[in-house]
Amino acid sequence: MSFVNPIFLFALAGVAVPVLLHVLTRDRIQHATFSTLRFFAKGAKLVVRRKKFQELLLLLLRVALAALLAFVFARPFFGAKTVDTRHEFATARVVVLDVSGSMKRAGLPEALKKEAQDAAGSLTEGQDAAGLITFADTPAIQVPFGDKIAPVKAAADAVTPGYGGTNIADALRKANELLRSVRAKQKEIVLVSDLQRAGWSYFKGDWKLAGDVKLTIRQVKPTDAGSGLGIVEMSAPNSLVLDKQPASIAVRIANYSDQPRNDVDVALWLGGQKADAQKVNLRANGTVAVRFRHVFDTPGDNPGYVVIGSGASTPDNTVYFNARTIPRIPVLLIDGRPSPNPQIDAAFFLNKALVPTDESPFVVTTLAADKVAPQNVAGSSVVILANVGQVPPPVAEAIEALLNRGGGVFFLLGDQAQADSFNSEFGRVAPCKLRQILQARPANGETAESLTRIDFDHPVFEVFSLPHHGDLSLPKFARYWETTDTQLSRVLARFGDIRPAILERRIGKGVSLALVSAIDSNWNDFAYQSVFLPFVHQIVRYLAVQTGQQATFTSGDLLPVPDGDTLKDPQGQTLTPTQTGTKSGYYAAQPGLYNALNAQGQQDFCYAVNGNLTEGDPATVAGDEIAAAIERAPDEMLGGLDADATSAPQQGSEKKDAGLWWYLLAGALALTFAELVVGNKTQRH
Amino acid sequence: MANPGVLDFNVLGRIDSMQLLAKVVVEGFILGLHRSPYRGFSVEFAEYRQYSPGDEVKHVDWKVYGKTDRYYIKQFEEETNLVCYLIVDASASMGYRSAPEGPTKLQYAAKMAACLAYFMMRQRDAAGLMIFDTKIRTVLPPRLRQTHLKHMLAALETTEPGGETNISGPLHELAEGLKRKGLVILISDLLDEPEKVISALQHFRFQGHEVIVFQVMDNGELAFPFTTMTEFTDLETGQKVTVSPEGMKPVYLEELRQFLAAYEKGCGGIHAEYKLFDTGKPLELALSEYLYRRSRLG
Repeated sequence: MSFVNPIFLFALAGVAVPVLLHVLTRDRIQHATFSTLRFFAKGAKLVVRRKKFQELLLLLLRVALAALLAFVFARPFFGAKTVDTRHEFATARVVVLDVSGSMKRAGLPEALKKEAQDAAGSLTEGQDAAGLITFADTPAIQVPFGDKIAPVKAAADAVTPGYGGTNIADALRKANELLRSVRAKQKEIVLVSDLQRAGWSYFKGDWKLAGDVKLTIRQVKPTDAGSGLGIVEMSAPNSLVLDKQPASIAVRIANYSDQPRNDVDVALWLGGQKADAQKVNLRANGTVAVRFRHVFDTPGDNPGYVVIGSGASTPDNTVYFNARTIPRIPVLLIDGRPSPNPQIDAAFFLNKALVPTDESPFVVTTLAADKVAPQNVAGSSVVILANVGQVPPPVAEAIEALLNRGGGVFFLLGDQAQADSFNSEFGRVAPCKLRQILQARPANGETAESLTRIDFDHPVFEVFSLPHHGDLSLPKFARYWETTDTQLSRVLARFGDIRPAILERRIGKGVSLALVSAIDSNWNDFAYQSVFLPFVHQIVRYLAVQTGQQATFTSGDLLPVPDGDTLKDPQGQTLTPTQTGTKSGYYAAQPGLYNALNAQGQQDFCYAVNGNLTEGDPATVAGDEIAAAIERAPDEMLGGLDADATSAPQQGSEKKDAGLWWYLLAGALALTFAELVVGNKTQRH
Repeated sequence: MANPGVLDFNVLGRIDSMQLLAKVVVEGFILGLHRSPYRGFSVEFAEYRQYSPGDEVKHVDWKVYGKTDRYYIKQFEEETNLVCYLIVDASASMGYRSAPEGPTKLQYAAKMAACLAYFMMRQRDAAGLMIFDTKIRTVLPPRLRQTHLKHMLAALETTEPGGETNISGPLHELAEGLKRKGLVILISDLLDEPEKVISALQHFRFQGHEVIVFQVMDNGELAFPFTTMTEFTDLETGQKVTVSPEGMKPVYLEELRQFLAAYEKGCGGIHAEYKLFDTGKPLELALSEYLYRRSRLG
């Protein structure tokens, strides 16, 4: 820890003031005879003990307050620990080592250690000062800045690359901060990295090194170019409905070399078996997407991975996933207007769509609005309110509770809804409020509105994006509700007049969707269109599975292992929770499949962990480019919002230091308050 | 004449104007309007009173009738039947005073006893004096002679605070020894267990005595004016305790309040008069206030 204004540390002598006050003003015991002690014999000792305790507490509070105020004014910050800020060193050097995933390539770990040893080895104990920072996505001070060189050498020797991404800029900024409070004839940052271009992309150009800091870059290069291929993107289902429908697992493969690559093997592995394989051709420096289709018919975890090439699976050429399947989805269909005439009964069409055969993934329970009980809602994953005007208040509360715990609600709004009552009753759980029913205006020969501006990036509409995969413009809407208060919602589709047609809003852990027109032939012909069935299926699947537990993570993430479970790493070794900051838990250090076992030793959950996929890109940035971007010319002035790294508030650790100062200030205020309270009590006693 | 150290003539002079009214039954303890219920005819002429039906004809003063043509009865003041027992506590705690210039509780009690004795003697009631601490130290049986007053004043003057307080024991002993029923006036700080003291006073009540309790407390005891950390030494036991008065004061005052309330309630329960005296308050004022209140009740 260092101090911005160390002169204020002299104020620490102020702790003597309360001590002196305590000594000078403490109670002198007087002696007196009294007629009887019978009236205070009971409480006398207690009162005296309490008073003594209060006086001692008051003294401690005052001493702590005086010390804390001195610290507050001295403005401590973390970084340049154990360094004498009054002493001028010959050289002050911070060694910054890249331990990102790209540094695991052949020859790089050894080169990293060698360069680090060289950087530290040229320093002289007693004359120079040094610190060591490693970085991947974020910088970490491995050896605090100090006048001891040996710890830096030792740490440099022990450094090992991990699986994280690369952020060079933040690391340099941290190093610059370490140097700012030290006096030295020469201040230097030595960066050892493969200078992966992706790692420099975070630099925004909003700060520069201090004028007296020199940047030395030692670029290391892999001894083997490797396969030159890497997976840069992966898409796999996180959660699936257990049915016979195939799911897609897609990866994007990049060819980093200047030569085209043909007949590259790409394989899908599931449960230890090769489930599928393809051969792809890649242009030089090009990418190609590979998609596997697979029917996941095993309930629960379906861990797997996609690997490039015919060799063994390694973190470099593999991406992991876990397509969890959930059993049949319980759906509660609340019918707001049951009718013997199917044409105007939404429940009729919805039931037909959801359960066309016995193999439907849905279990639908249909109840009239006035027959619904809260337990019906509680037992469902998805609730569809088909043209429902109102429900009993407990049911409305149950719907809100369902959303909060991660369920889904789908509103189909028709003539049973009254704007005022709907807004008051469902305002908190619906994605919009209602204003009025509109009639479609005939135009261009059309007598009704169609769905336009459909958000095909949304999981519900993804499947309709390709040609001949369902035409959502076919349904014609003659009547629909005009909506309001949609600021918090995402509009997934609009009518031709730009008014929202389908809206989505996240509420609690769940999702609420609304189609502002009823499934009713008087309102639209949606139910008569072939796209209706897949649309309803997509909606309900999405509502049911999108809140499934996350199964895919990135290395370094905290895995949500349930209490009582044990976690096995990809090699089958049992892990123990680790402490990082204030959080304790299981951190995924390396890519692979982690298994959580319950108390009985049975498989509970599988977590798929991938490294940073951008680390496969071997493209580099020139060291000169980095130096030119952040080194300051001798006569260069900083202006505007430009951050002088030596003084301006900075991100990352600077925020932490500012946080520390605020904590100290808050502590001083709390102590002042406590002193007032205790002092007042002591006076009165 | 009485020792001026004990008998304060200024006090007596001011109290002289008061008329002591007896509330209840004790014969003789009435000043002024009804001085003594036993007006006799044997000792000393007292006054004339207009004849009223029922008076014996033999007491009519015929000479006056001859002069005034009205019937007057000749009355005499006889030796009273009232016997007053003044019981003074002289335990060590009675030697306490918070202000160096003020009286100790014993001095205050002695003055009070002297004044009361003087009044008794003046209205020809027999007064006796008992002084005790853990045991009975002095007993002067009730007499009516002027020389007896001198003896009582001398005894009060020479009394020094002694041992620990043991009120109930001597009181029981005295109650057993008093032959004639009369008025018992206990002057003490009552720093003993209230139940025991009340029990002893009840003993007097059983014997047919009227009981008046004058509790004498120092102003320092009542107000607890200490402000700094103090080591208190018990006057009677020598026990020491260190106290932070600011914190102790509420506890002390609450304990004291309960203590005094116990006496007031206990005395009420046995139909004994109870009055708390503060030595910081002038004696004549305190006595006057008490007598006035009593007269209003009577």
